Amino acid sequence: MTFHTLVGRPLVLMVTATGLAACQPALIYGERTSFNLAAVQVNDNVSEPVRINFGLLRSVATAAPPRGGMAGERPAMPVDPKSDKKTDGTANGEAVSVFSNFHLEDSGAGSSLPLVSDELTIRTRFASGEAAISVADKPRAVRAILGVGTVGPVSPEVRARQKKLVDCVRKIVDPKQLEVIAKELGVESTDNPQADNFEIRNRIGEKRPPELDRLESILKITCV
Amino acid sequence: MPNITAIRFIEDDLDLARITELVQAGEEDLGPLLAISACEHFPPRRLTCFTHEDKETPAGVLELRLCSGGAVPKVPGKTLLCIGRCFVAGSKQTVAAFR
Repeated sequence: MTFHTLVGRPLVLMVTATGLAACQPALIYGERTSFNLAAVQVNDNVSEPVRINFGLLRSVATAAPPRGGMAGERPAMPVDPKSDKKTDGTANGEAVSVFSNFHLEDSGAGSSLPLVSDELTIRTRFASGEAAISVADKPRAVRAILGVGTVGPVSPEVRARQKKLVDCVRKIVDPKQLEVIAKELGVESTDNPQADNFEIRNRIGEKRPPELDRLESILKITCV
Repeated sequence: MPNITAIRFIEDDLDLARITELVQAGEEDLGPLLAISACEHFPPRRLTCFTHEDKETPAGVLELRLCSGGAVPKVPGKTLLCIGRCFVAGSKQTVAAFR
């Protein structure tokens, strides 16, 4: 069995769509995700495991018109008479019309092999066009659209790691230590260590490897 | 005395069994469940918010049940904790938590 690669197709489709839409600026977004599982060695020896290869190939192609307008269509930038500087804060050619978030989760309980369970979830979100333009300079809004952390099903191994980290953090009372962990998690510290500790434990539940790797590294001395 | 609370967000596409597991994990990590509510403040995402209180979780396993037709089911041996709107397998339902 061989892998079936699709790396060229999204780009071909995008080039075609770009050509058709050439008369007006347009955001073109293409995505193709393929997952393949191939058994490469099966033999009669039942004591030897089947050897497999698996692969996840994801191609994303985006063509976004520059925010300042396409070449030849941009109006002249107004000039501040006091400073003789152009007042439009957008650089020519800067394209900011799309945000994307991709999340892959393997939540098959009991599976010891990665990505071979029946609980594989691929979740992609993106904001484009007017939606993206309206929030392009508002990081909090972008995070609200794409970055709200959620808890989800995880393997027993990942859950055990989360719980171990939570149990470790629960015992920490030093505000400075909590501040280091809070910063790693993107949690804003307050003047209430108990509240910070609680929020840190809350956020750990959202984390998967490799974020758990990083937290374990930070806490390894505390939790030994 | 009221305690500090925290909210955990769960996606809208999970079934009730998976949601229950996550809420039970939340009680292990944080404390007892205080409230359930649907959260549509981050469109187009639809999330369910589970509010947990920072205190020791009482003994007993938490269970979630659907309230079909708005009627709260009776669960023998369990006490009703809270009721709220929750996204279950993509649809907004009324769910009750028991311990």
